[in-house]
Amino acid sequence: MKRKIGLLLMVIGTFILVTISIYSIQDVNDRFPNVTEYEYATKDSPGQMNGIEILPLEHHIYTKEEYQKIYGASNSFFENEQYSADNYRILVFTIQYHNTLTQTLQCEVDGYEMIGKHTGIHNGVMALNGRDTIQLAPQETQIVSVGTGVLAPGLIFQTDIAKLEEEDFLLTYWWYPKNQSLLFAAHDEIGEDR
Amino acid sequence: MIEQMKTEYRRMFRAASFWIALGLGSIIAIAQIVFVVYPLSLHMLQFYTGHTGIPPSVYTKWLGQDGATAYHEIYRISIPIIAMLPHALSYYFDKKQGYIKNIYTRTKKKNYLVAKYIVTFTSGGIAVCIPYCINFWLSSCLLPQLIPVRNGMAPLVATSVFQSIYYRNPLLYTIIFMGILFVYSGVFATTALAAVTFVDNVFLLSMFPFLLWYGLGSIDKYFFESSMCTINPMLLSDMAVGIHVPVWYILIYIVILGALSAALYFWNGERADVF
Repeated sequence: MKRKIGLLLMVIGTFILVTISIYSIQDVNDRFPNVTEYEYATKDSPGQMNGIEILPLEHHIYTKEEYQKIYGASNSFFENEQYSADNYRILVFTIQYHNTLTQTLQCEVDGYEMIGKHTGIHNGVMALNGRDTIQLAPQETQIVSVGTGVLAPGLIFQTDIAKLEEEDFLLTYWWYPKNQSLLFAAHDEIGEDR
Repeated sequence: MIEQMKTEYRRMFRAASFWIALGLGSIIAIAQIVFVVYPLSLHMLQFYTGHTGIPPSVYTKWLGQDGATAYHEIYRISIPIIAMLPHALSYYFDKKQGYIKNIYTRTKKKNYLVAKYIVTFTSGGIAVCIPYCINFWLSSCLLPQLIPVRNGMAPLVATSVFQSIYYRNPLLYTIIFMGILFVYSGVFATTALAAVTFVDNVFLLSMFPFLLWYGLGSIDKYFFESSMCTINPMLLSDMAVGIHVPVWYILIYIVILGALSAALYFWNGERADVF
């Protein structure tokens, strides 16, 4: 008899536990659902951020030598000296900001995360002029270049380096509840679609 | 053999050491819920700005992925102890107390040795994975199952093992690594069986899986730090690290280690005269 009562209590306890768990899981996931809406700003449809219109203009993939020639970065920037220079790549993105309001606005320009759509590489970016914010007067337009850190082995597979030319890149600036990114498509500069 | 396994499983479930191992693991797992997950669930949007990432997700904050707090680290270090406790020392005690003589008069040596190995292996895996499951289940009740994003907060990058699964189907990633952890825990529990060959001290024997687990990690620091390769089992079985090794490496590593310890255990078990 005692055993039966024990078993019955165990079954009731398990049932209550499972019910509470299912309710809690469903409730918390209803309140915070996964992102389903993805918005990609392109040259033709600019993104909006607090009254500022953001336009992805172009992107370039540089080797170590090319980058040093253009931007004059010191060798300390390329910290992983154990790899050959051929394994390094740096991505530079050019973005246009336009203030659509009638008041002066301030905008953070290095708050993006770069993501390769197919290779999955990701890295933060920084403004190449060293200024992380810009100020935009009413109706003013500014063009800013941001660059990733060095993409070296550890962040990217050797085989994926060759695929970068064919890669679409996203600069994501808003993650939740809606994902908003700037899309830099491959062959953008010559107007080809993937 | 089946009968012998049933006996071994019965002994395992009735042993206090099994419940102590489960209790130890569960204390860490529940402490992480109480001090990390629960406070986060109360103030879900405390550190959230859509600009930097997503609200806390079960896939970034449960014990298995919560690499930023001490609970994760303590659990990772305790794995060989939790795995060894349930059944790994029973072989030593069977020999020492003469229990093995009773068994050998009733069944073949091979049956006993194989049953002991299988039960020790599975008991190690169960004792390590159950607290993880408890933590994951409780975390799921408190935090949303938001798919992690590549915002630089998670340690997994494009070259990490199973990274594409993690960012697409994190539940599958969790299940895969639970499987890996089960096997690693099982193999490290059975190293104590192999160590009976050359260790005749119960304290040293109980520490052997831990010393091996931690020792391989220390060797790794000296010899492999600058390379992409690692022989640290703590890293190889850790889903929160995002190690840069191929999948086959994780499997081959544990197969070799398991084969070595099994060979030593069976060789010694068959050779040793207990009468």
